[in-house]
Amino acid sequence: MNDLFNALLPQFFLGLVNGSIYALLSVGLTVIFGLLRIVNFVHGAQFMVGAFLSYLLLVYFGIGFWWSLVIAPLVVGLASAAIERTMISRLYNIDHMYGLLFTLGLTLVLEGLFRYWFGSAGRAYVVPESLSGVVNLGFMYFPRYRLFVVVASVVLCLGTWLLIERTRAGSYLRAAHENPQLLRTFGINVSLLLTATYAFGAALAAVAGTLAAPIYQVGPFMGTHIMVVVFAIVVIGGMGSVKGTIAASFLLGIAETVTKIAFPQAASMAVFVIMAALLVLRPEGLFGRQESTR
Amino acid sequence: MIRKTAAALAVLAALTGPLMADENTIRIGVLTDMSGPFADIVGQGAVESVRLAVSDAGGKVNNKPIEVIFADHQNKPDVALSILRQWYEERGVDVAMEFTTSTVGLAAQALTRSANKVALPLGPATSDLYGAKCSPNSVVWGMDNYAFGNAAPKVVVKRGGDKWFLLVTDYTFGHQLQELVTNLVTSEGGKVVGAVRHPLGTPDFSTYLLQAQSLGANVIAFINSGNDMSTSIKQAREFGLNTKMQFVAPAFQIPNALALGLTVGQGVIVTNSVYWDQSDVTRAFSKRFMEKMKKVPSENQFMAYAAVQHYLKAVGQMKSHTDGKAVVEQMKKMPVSELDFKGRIRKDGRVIYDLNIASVKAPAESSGPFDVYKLTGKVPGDEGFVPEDKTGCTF
Repeated sequence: MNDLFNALLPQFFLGLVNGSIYALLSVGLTVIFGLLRIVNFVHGAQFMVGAFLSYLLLVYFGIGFWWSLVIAPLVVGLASAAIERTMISRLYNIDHMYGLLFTLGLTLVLEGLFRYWFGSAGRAYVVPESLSGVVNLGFMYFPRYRLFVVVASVVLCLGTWLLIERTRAGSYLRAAHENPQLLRTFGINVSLLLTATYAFGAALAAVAGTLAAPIYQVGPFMGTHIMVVVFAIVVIGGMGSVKGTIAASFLLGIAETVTKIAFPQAASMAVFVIMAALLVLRPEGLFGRQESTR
Repeated sequence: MIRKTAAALAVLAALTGPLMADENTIRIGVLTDMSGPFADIVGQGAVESVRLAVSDAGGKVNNKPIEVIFADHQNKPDVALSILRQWYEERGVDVAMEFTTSTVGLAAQALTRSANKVALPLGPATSDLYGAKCSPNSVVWGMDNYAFGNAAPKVVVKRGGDKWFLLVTDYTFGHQLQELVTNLVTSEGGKVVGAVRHPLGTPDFSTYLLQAQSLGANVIAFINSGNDMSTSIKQAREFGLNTKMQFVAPAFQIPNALALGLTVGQGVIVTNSVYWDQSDVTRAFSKRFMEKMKKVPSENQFMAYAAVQHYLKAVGQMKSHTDGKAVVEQMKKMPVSELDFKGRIRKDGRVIYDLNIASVKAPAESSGPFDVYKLTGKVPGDEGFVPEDKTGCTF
């Protein structure tokens, strides 16, 4: 028993790291979907751009990891706000399919551009000096940087959840989702609220990109690879439920890692098997609310 | 109005209509990955290499002008075949080359044989191209599984790396290489203490890397390619595996080194077919290549030049270039001496040249962005590739 515990505990921690990146991405995605009703396919590209911005800041301007953690999300957030204002906002009142197609198209354009500029093999971002090395956790040596990622992600995810569920701004957001017309009559600028939400979600993706840069290879398709899993997580957590998404991210990060020991070839499938099973048993997701048919 | 439209259509038809295969022009078609995961290794750079070879030949052979065209097969055999069919039947292409992946390579080689043209595979890594599926219309230039898996591991075992952990990508390329490396390590007196197969496109390898650590390996072999290879090497370093193990990456190529950077890639041991800084000849070619592509040529991009140069030399000895099989026979008669590829072409179509064993330099040892390899040994060509009596090739 003790042996099994010793073997599984390190893997549990590794799962948490992947879960952390999943959580940051899926929270942004679910916030955007919950309030804007847009399936933001370009989320993966925003993640990728965040990672590349950090890389460029380091290589061309000598700006290190910590400033990148602020600058990259700011740039991606502002650019995304502009895109929401000029383009995505026109899609709210038509079929969801258009939002999906538009954001998917935007992804292909962004990935194509970065592939053209940097090649498909991408670039390596080195772990920041202050976080390099390993920590002795007693049962294993763990890279210090990965621990930092877990802590940063938990803080940001909880922050987001509190912001939406416990603050006045959050209550406006939820109201804008329930009944935008009514909220307008109270003198709230709903379209500004939606823009801000979109920018916030995109900025979270860029934070995830910056955090992921030292772990994964920074490449034009890094977003596409991870988004497939993240979409499944959002479905499992319940579309639009922040709490459910966070829980699902960490659970699936761990489930994936455990599969890697038990049956390595199936590791990338595990998430989808769970998703399929859940869709059969509980279509609204782990924490999703059943929507009344409109 | 109708007359105008008809006239316009007629002009259009004349412009796009079939160009029949003709005696008077030599057409080279580069069928490659222009935009996908292998575009850095082949792609536009391979096309530029071909153009350099053509311009060095003076743009014509036997007074026949040489034309170069290229297309993106998107790594899909069906797309590749429809382009190739059009090239052979309508555009008058005489020689098709590159092909990037094994699936595209095998399909293209078969079609080339039935059309009696010439195929010059560079990227595909399956030794079946000169083995079970060999063709009298092909000259195979590229490195293959066997050469990748044979050269570097042998040297590493000799240097004392005897406990191996294999990180294997879960498709044919990985499986074949895994079998090869396992046999080789065992026969050289080493032991494979563990192996794990991971799906293509895995973002996180930490679970597998911890296994390697707990099994007490002193060598870890990265039997994967592209992004998977870069990510797994980077993460192995993050977990400090480099302090206890040698890193071997058989299918590592120069673009991998450029993508990883020396801080992360240092110390990785690789099999290499040609390196830009190995001689005056390669340095001179790289300089010309860099004027166009702004980076040094990859192994396959060197081969693109060499393959075309050798093809044109053969055609120069012949009256007609339209019989593909005859051209290939002529090529096999002539020794290979293009750039630093010095050797011969075997009956089965395999080009034989010497291989390098190299390791990635540490940042302190490097004098510039492209100074990435330290050449540490050579493997004679006849040891590098599948021996002629073991390929099973019959035309």
